[in-house]
Amino acid sequence: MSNLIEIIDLEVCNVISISNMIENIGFETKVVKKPSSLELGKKLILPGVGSFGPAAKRLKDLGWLSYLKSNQDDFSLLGICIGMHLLGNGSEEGPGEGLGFIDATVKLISTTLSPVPHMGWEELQSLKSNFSLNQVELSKFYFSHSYFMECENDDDVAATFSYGGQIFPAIVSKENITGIQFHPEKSHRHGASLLRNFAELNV
Amino acid sequence: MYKRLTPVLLIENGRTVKSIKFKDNRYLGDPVNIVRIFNSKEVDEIVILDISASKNHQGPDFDLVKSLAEECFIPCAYGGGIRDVKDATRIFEFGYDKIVLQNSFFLNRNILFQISQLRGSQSVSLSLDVQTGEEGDFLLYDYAIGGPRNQDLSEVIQSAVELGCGEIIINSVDRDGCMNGLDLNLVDFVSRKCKVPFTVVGGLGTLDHANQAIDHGADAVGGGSFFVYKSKTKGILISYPSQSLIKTVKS
Amino acid sequence: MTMTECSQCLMDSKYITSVSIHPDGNCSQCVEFEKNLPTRTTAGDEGKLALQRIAAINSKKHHLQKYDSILGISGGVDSCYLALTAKTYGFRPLLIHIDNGWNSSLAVSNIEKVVDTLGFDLVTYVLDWEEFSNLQRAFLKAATPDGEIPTDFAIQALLWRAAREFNVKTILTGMNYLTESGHIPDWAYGHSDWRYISSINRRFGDTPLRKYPKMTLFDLFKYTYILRIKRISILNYIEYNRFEAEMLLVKTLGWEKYEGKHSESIYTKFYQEYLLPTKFGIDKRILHLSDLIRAGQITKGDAKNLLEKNPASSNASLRNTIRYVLKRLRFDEVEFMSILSSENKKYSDYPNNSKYVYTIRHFIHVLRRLKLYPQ
Repeated sequence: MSNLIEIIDLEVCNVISISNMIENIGFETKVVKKPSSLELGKKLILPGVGSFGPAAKRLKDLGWLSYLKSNQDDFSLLGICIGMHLLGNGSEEGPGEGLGFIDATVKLISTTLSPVPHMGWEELQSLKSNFSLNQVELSKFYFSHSYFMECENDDDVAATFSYGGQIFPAIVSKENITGIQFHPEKSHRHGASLLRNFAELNV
Repeated sequence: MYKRLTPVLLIENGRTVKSIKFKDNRYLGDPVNIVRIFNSKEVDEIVILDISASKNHQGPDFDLVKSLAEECFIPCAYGGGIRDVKDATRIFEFGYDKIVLQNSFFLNRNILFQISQLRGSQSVSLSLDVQTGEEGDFLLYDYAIGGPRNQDLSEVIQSAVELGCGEIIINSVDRDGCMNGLDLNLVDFVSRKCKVPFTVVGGLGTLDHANQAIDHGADAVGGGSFFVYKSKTKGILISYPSQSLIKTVKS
Repeated sequence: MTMTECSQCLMDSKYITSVSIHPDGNCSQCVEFEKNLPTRTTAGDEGKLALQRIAAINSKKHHLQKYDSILGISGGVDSCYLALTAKTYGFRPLLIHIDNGWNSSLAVSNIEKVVDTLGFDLVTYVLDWEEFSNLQRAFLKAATPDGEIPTDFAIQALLWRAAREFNVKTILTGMNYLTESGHIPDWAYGHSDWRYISSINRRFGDTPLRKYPKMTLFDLFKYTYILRIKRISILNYIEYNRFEAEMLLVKTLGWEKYEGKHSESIYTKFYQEYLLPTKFGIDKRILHLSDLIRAGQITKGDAKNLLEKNPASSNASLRNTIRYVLKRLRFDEVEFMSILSSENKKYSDYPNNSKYVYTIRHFIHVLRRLKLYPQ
């Protein structure tokens, strides 16, 4: 049961795809809407699609902002896409407070060389070793976003991708907090391997 | 950046079909297993379009749409009969990354804005069917009635982008099912007018065709016949170029 | 104590009533095998020469046509090896695939490899899913152990039809006596019995069969005696060894192996690995492995090890398969549980033409012995 993965549902995106993929690779998941519904609270996934503003509002209104900040050392947290953006301080995309776990601000991708939103498959460049990429073929992962996370500390960036002639963080990581810009649940077996690494993490 | 090579699946009354120039729909089989096979082949993305919903003045067949999403661990988009934000929300909840609009956009353009506000622009695509007129101009086509839309393609593209559309899917009616190359003039035209990524569909017969379209500015190439027919006798068999071949589609 | 287990193969008369044990310890299937092998197959160089001759005559017969034969391909080892053999001996087949909506991705890619590498043309007949899935549901409700009949019958009917449509007089089949000698009537019958199929659909089905390929005994007569379409089992001329065949396919086509025999179809995997053992206590691997033992392609010891190591129904991939099948056949748990626990039936419990079919089969067998009918 220590491998139970609890998926935070802010009701701004579907959590089914992530849940399905994790169950498919043989691990148990539970979708939780409020902190009080948490069973173990040890391995948490914060997915997010859409835009920062509504997500940040739900994070606060549902009680996650205060719960996660107060219990920061008790869990391993994986934020995906907007979920990754919520790990930072805030976003240009909309109002609301982020968790502040990673010292970063979310900004609009601005490049004239390639269209925005960025939708497609990218290879990653790994900067430092990270549990998420253990034994994962550094092949392509699927991205779908217009905003990216600009980190204050280079140390927090575990992997990058290039787009429109610039380099952006693909994976950010600090201690027990990890954020990924791409969608593992859409990246078939590569995504499945990454999620398995998270599921098998020793907490 | 890898350009996407996207199978586009057409569903008519719950059955997968393939057309030629938007006619003569040939039965390909049950969509659930077809989607399952594409998923196993780890395609870049799959676009599922219900071409009968709007014609029948119906909303999406939610049971079918849900059962298809369950087979996807790849990016998937759904379009067909989406009438309002409520329909769109339900589709997103099934697990689709994007919804594709056409008819409802032309009935009320605001729906695009509402959905992009809800889920971000990357979650909504606009699908446009285009025929080439006698003077080589591009005319919007309404597949539900089988006639012209009488709206200006440039204006529609511009308006859609302003309203928050994340992607335009441009289908050539004339090249549909012909497998003799994508309409490169159309690609040039859209490339000049469109500020967001666009996928061109219609006429894909070889990977060279895809490369040409990308050289002319397409961000992704969609296909139907290319992924479902084999040999000159057009035996129905789902295929997708192996990863090593796809590299040639990289920009 | 009477021995019920065959001393050579895995057949046990205690479980399979149509099998009996002879005084020398061999079962009736093994005895029949020794008797029939010389009439049903041609070994060694004689076989190869005979096949060359057959190919040449057949080609000449179709010399003005693009295709000189029809070949059904499923993606499995037998049909893929059949295609490779056909190519080797100079046949010009049109490949026919019957898509029943249950293709595994691996089957599809293996067929693709055959088509691309050997340069054949492919035609696919797609069964109407609504009717076909309804018929599969009906067979499950009928509780007979031959739920693969909807597929097998359709394949037969459509191969004949293809031969007629493309004006070709030869169907190449992957049947081979050497590794497919055993048969247990109670387990499967009705491959050619339209009356049986329509009676099951009438009783348990929800949709009439309009698009499903119908074929009556009269149609069969038309195909064989009026149109003179012949089926040739070319694998009977080349001492077919399934293991060697797999290796050669891997080497020449990049073919990929399946988990079990016939796992190219998701439904067959469900049926043979889950439904048959669970509901009927039937493990078809016993039949398949006995065939291979008789053919000298596996020892009894190795066969027994295989059976023990992988019990018929286990593992996570089987669970996923079961879930998928129930989803597509629209069974909820309750309905499926009642099917599993319903009383087991046999084909003889439903209207059928078995009398006629057996008579015809016997007649053809006699013709074969008189060398008046091809193998």
